[in-house]
Amino acid sequence: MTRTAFLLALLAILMGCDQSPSPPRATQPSPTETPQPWFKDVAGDSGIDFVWHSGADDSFLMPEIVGGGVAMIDYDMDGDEDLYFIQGGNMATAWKEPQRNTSGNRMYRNDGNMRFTDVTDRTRTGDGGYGMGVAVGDIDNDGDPDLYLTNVGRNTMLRNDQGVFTDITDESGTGDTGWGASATFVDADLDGDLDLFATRYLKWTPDTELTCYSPLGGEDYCSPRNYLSPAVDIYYRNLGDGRFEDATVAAGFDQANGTGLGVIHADINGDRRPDFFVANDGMRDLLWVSHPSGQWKEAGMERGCAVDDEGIAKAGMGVDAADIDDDNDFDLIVCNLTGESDSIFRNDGDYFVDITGRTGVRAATRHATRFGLAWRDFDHDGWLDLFEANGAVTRQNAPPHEDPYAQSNTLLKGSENGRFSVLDHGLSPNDVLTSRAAAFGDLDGDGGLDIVIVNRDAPITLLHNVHPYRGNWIGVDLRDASGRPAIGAELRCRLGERTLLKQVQRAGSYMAMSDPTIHIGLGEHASLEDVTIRWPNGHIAPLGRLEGGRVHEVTSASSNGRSEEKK
Amino acid sequence: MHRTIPLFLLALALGCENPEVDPGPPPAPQNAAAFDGEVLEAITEARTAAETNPTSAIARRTLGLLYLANGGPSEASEAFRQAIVLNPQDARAWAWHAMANEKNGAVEEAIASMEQARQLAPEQRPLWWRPAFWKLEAGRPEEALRDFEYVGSLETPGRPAADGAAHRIGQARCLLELDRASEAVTILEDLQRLINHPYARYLLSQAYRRAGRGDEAERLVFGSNFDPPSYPDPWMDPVDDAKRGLDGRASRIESLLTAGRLGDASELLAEARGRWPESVPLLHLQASLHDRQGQQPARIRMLRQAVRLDPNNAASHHNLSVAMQQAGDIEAALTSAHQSVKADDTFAPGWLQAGRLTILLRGLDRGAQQNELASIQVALVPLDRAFELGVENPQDHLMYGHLLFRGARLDDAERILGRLIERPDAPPQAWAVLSELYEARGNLNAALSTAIDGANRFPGQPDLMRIINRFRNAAPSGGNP
Repeated sequence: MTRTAFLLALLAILMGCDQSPSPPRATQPSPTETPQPWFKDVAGDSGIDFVWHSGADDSFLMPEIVGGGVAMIDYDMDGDEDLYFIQGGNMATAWKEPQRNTSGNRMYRNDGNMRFTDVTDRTRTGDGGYGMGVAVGDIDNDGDPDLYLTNVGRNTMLRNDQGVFTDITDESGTGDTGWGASATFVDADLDGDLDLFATRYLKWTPDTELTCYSPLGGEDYCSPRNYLSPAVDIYYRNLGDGRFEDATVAAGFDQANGTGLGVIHADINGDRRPDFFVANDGMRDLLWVSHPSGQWKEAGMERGCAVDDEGIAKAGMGVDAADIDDDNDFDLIVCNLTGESDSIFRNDGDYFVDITGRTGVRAATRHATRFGLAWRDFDHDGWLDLFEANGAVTRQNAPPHEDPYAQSNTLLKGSENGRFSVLDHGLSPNDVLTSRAAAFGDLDGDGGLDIVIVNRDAPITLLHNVHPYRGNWIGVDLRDASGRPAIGAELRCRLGERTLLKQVQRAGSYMAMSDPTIHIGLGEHASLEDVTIRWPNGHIAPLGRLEGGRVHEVTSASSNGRSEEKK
Repeated sequence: MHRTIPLFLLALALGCENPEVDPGPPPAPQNAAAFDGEVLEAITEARTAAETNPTSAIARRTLGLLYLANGGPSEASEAFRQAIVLNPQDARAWAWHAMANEKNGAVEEAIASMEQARQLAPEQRPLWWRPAFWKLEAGRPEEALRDFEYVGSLETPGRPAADGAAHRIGQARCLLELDRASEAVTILEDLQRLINHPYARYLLSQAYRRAGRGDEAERLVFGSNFDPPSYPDPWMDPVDDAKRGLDGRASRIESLLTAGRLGDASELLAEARGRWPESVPLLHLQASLHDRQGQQPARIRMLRQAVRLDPNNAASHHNLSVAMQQAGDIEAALTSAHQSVKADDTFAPGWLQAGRLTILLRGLDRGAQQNELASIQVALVPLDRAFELGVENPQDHLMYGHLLFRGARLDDAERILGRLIERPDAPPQAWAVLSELYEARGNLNAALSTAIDGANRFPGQPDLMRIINRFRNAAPSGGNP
């Protein structure tokens, strides 16, 4: 070896190795933290024994991995939210002979203190279709809430007559036979009665089922992209006499199709009429904006909320709309598949801006496949938090549970700086299931927002809000003249220096209906100031100050500035 | 000196492996049942190699690549960590460690590993822009912007790099995130000269809107279904090569075809088809390769084989139909299109193809024909079905609207064309046909205003100008009617 060569070799060794970067260390578990959880699962003691049966055998039929839904509904008008669960069952039986699909939906009456009683038989609410989602709304203006059930196959309309339900699907003309998913009632044409918008997932029958394989090998559930059969969502206009007409084409909703799973309505363009945001699975999301012609125009791409900032049409599932930046308009959130983050679209007037990254939600949500979700202030600090119910749709490489689709749910705490941070201690660590629908509301009247979650082939999760240091709060229950929740009514108010916008809304999440009472965390404040209501008919009613610590019931007839205590 | 260089490399190769360090056992699959047989076989082989050569960083790296490419990012992260312990100078191992961590959701760790990789290989542009995208997604746009700008500074002025779109798109997204839309517009306008991609136009339209230039946004055409652009990164090739199983192989072949690397695709296809001779997806890919190579008979042979193997595969019949059409055998193409919808009557592309072929067979594309109305009605049957099921392409909407018009289904034609012109990707002829439709209905004002709307959107477009001029000439004063 020549001297030069040796020196060069030595130099290489010295240069190369002595200043080596440190190798990464193997992952170490972080020190255990034991802060107080925000929620406790009380399903086991609640009297609710409901299990959403997927009917899964080895056929991997697509609907088995998609359902099912849940609704909070005060069916008996006693002032608290009862729970209605949508059942799957045996797909083949439900498809051919729904009357033989004995699993059936279940209605549970709220007895207070997070205890419930099965009242399915006495309420006659045990529909036998292979169920997906549910919509709640008073379609006949008699004050009590009716039900619309979306199935794989014929949907069902159940009319509530003082706590007993009657199947009026045929006479109402709402028995769409496609694959229904999320649905919502809202007075879309502002004629004083609730119309119905229902998403349709795929054009699918058991005969068109495909065989698909997991990237990890072996058979597994397909992606909707495999079927190449998106569907047009359906819009039924309420004729006011118990009948609905299919006005999908007349209203323009046939301009775009999709694989609709989630839907939310909100007045995005400020014209008083509801607009609709539809989460599509593996296709661009749709934003139906009301048009002066009376129709709706699809404007998702144009307004920047159809795909994310990377141009990716993600697998949209659950949705919500809320004013998260106090600028007096509704922002949107849609959750997606593992590997794809949520998308948060900030409403900037004529267009939306994808602000997911800056909220911290992008990195925080990619680990799981999310379905039911909501922006709510669970700790009453005045800032909206975010809950997401999770569960995979294809087998996972290293599942944390014997169920290969099980994933833990996600709770993110919102804060003043607009960022959301994962709250690992907020939920029970044992809460690892394949979760789908989630509904939100104060089930026991203690002022805290509770969550009910449907799990695939496992008991439900009933999360009682046990946050030990919740701030002050207020509920505002806006009712129209017939006594039903004034869906679409907007509440504007001041909270300290901030201006808030809220709306009466049951829809959102995923195949679920939540408590329509407006629930606001006040933090250190004792009241809301300068409260103003914009009723669906456009009438503006100033209410002034509302004191916190209770639910105020306000009807459009009594909206002259007085509020009435509900409970 | 000729002896010096090999010695230098040997020193690097030998000197940097650290036989004194025990990196731990090569990671086993966390859930063996989750991996396909072929993947598991390769993993077992790679683990054995790593156990047999416990100080070989390359063996750990190979194992890491298998995990990374086949859906095991946790195991991949550990295998690359071990490779780095054995050879901290391996920039690629750092980069792949970063990518495994990112896939695992450990973004900060991923960014830290990528930082190490680029200290070792600062000339590798993807080592800058890739973590910059992660930082952007993690809500750190200022930091990401600095990185993207740095990658831009590496570029020779006037000679954009092959991956030059990456940092430009990244920079623009950061600027949009920081509410600096006007600056984003400048970069995105420049990007349009570099790539022709609908996502780039979409992003520019968003930037225009946010910069208060809504009119310019309206004029951009970007469609509604597109994938984001992919940026070349040679260090990703070994990851793609490590993909196992039929799906992995097929996706690798597809990406090679998309990149125009036909030789590599051909080689991999031959290997894969030796292993899965009856795989219909591979036959489709083989047909696609033949198509790109201009070998139409071979393409048709492959698709016929696919049809024989799975007669119920609507896509196979459809692809065969398209191939037959391109080969000039329209009747055989129509038969295949019919077979396609027979296999799956909800397969919209099959119905659409049947409609298109009926138009050709009946000569409807060559102007007025005998029994034209009857022929149009025949062609509209499959087209109605296709559009009921959902058709995306605006050109197909134009064709359908036009045919409905000629078939005297004026309400339907007006509905289809009226909606088409509201799409950002509508072709200019949509306004022309709609204008003529209004004229046929006697609504001359609507006809003229539609043509003018179209001409405003597509200045100077001949069909629209012809209509406008015709109206002008017909006006009594010779001026504007």
